[in-house]
Amino acid sequence: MLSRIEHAMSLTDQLRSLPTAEPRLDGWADVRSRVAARTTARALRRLGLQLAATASVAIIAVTAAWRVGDVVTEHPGSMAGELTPLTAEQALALDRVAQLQTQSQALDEMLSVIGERPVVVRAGTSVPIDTLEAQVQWIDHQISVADGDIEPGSAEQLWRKRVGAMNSLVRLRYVEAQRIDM
Amino acid sequence: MSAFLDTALDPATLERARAGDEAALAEIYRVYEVPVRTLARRIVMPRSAAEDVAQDVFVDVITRLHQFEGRGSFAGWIRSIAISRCLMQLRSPWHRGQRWLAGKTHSIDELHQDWQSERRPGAATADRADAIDLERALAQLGDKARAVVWLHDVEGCTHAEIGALFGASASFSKSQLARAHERLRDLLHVEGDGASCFPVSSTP
Repeated sequence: MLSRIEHAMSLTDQLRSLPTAEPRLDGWADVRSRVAARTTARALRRLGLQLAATASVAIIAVTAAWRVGDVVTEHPGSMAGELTPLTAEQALALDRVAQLQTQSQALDEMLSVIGERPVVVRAGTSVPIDTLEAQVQWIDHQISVADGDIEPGSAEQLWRKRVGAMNSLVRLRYVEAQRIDM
Repeated sequence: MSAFLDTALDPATLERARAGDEAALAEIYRVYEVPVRTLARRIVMPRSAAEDVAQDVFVDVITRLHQFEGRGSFAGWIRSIAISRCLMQLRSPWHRGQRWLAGKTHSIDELHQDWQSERRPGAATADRADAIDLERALAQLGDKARAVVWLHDVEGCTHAEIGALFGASASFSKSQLARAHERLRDLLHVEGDGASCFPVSSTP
């Protein structure tokens, strides 16, 4: 144990007595050139960032102006229409539309959980299911054709119809699936 | 002992340097060049990488001089920058890749060149041979182990400080140091025993 400690101490002494490095002749000149290079690189990086930021803002501004110009050219008066404030009734209708859309989405998911229709079906359920599916498709077509250019009240009516049809469809499909399982 | 302890800088010079005085900055370089280069040369290998690190330390010192708040000694501040730079170098994937390509050992030729280029008129031949043996043994240690040995044995850092530098505990430093000492002892023992150039067979 003692020899280990002695050895460690002697090693430490030996390490401490190792020669130091000698000064470099061109050392200071090299440091100065490195400092200058680093300063220039930082300045260039800062300038590059500023240029990039300016360019981004300019691109966004030009693109926005372009888009606004296109909309005004294609649909004169549409901007004014978009900017018209909604009435309280319209705002409530929009809120109800959003709720109906959520319900409709939930019913879609339930339908997908029930799965595909069986190959062999009962006439008693098959006909109403086909009718309801056709009805939902027709409502979807009307909604997609309207694509936002529709009064909030009319949109609410359409979505309410869709929810009603989907609700019935899900119930019938569920009954159909239960019978097949039995 | 740490070469940083032998340095002293006039406070007025430091003030002038902080104000951007070129001569004062050059004076800082002159005073701290040897300790910084010695530290870098002992921790970072190969020599060319160590030289690069040492020069970058002074670039850091000059560009960050305004951050020195005068709480500790200026030499200690420079030393902490130098140690961080060295450890950053050891951690860099580029450096590790280079070391892997070049092989882990510092070539003995390079060590001899160091001795010749750095003319040490006072060094006796025996001392020189011992020092070369020790340098070669040191070079054969892993990067971490070598850094721990130098920081603890020569720079006088505590195990807790070294552990913190490596993002580890004091135990990490202790175990690295113990293993490194053992390895150095083995290497120096083997090299000290050096077989004769003309081995004579014991059997007739």
